[in-house]
Order: sequence, then structure tokens, then C-alpha cells
Amino acid sequence: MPAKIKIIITFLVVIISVFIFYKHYIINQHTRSIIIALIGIVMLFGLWMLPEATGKIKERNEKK
Amino acid sequence: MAVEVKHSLMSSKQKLFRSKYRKQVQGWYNGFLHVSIIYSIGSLLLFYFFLNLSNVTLVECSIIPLTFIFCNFFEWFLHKEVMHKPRNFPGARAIYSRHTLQHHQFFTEKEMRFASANDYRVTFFPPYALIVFSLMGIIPSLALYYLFSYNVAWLFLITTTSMYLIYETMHYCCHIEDNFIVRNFPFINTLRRHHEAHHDQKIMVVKNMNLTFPIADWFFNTSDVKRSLFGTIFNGYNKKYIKLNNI
Repeated sequence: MPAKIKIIITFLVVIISVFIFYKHYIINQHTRSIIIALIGIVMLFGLWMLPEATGKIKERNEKK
Repeated sequence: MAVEVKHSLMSSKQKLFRSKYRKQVQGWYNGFLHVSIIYSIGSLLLFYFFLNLSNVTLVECSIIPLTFIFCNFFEWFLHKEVMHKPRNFPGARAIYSRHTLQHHQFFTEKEMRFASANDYRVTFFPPYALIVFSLMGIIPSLALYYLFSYNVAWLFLITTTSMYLIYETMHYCCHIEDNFIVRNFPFINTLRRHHEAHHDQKIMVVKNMNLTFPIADWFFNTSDVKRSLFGTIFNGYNKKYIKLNNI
């Protein structure tokens, strides 16, 4: 996944999670706000922490 | 040293690809963590969606089968037109590369099994796929909220997220060792044969595009078996109805 797209997705995840979190928090729906915060954190973790393996076969030029 | 499946019929080309692919996966990759992230996001989303339901009526529940059918056709379309054809919109090339050039080289009809949790990297979608699908679901759910009701919107999201998790689970079942459960469990046994046939590189771009229930394949005549809808869905391991001209 290109980094540019990942940044856009990250931006959307943060904006939407914070918005929904705030909506629940101000009306004292703490369970829902915690779940939304957790979803946002796990999504960001999944987006950035798991290593990307290209799977592309690159032959190395080994110089002796 | 990477683990490989024993007693395999795989070609030397497939064996070489698997070996090189595994070397490309970074050392700290953890298959269980990968799967945990996917199912954690999915379960938390479902829990949150269920919390928002209240006094659901039977009429509102009619969105579930409609969304189920929509997801089945969407899965067929995405698999056929994006995962097996190189497209030019952002991210499409990465999807094509990951699926056709990696997943289909790693798993062929000769060897469908992965060897260890490290191979989950090429078996499961990356976590961002579920995130993208979840974000994509927001606009139609808002439309359903304004057109129908609050519950209809949440039921739509519950069905789409469930279908994603069913997809991942059933696809995983296609790449595990044959056992009593997968051999006899309805739907899973059908999909295992259906998906194994799809991994034959001669037919992979035209046949058996569904990865959950072969409904769209039956509808568009892209199933490799000639049966009724019921027969196609409950075909199991039966090879009696395979069409002769599948290529």
C-alpha cells in the first residue's frame, strides 16, 4: 500500500474516530466512546505497525 | 529456516516462489498478530454496531438478506475485475500484485496449504483492507439512515462487517490441511473445492470468483460446475458436475 494512501486513510480514521468519540462522550455514553477509541487505536496499529512484505522477487547482484 | 509443507505435489517453480516470498517477509512479522488485528477490529466494530440497535422490527431486518446478496456480488466483482486485472486507480495495482502475482503463485491447485503462521501474510488481507471497507460503508449507511431508519443503517454495517469476517474465515479454511470438519461442514467443503479449482492458473481469471458462497458465480455462469443454485452452494467436494469446457 503506497504511503500516500495510508496517510489519507489514517487521517480519515482519526477524524471519524475522534468525532464519534466526542459525540458519545458529551452525552455520557462512556462505553461506546471507549469502544470507538479502541477501534481507532487498533486500526492505526494495523495500518502502521504490521510490516509490509512486498513479495517481489529481487535478485541481488552479489559482488565478490 | 522457513517451514514448508511435507508430502506436497507442488512444482519446483511454486516451491522456489514460496521460498523467495518468505525471505521477503520481514523478520518481526507475526501471523497471529496479523489475524488478531483483523478479528479485533471486526469484533469491536460489530460490538459497537450492536450496541446502537434498538427495537428492531422485522421489516428493518429485510436489509440483512439484501446486503448479503449485495456483498456476494460485490465480492465477485472485486475479485474478477480488480484482484485479477491490473487497473489504474489508486491502490488497484497493489491489490492486483498482492493477489494475482503473489497469492496465486504461492498457492496453486497442486498445493493449497500454507506451512506455518508466517504464511498468513499471503493468506489473509492486510488489516487496512477491513479499514477501507469500513470507511466505504459509512456513506451508504448514512443514506440508509436518512432514507429508512437508524436500525437499517446499523444492520447494513453489521452485515457488511460480518461478510468480511466470513470471507476471511472461509478463505482461511480453503488453505488449511484437509480434516473431518472442513470436509463435512456445509459451505466450507463447497468453497474448498471451488477455491482449489480457482487456483488452477488456466481458469483463475474467469472461473469461481466467489470466496464465500458461490451465488454470483452461479448467476453469472462463472462457476466451474453445472448445477442448480442449491446444488452449486451445497456441492461439497463433488467433482461429478464439473463442466468440461471450463477454460
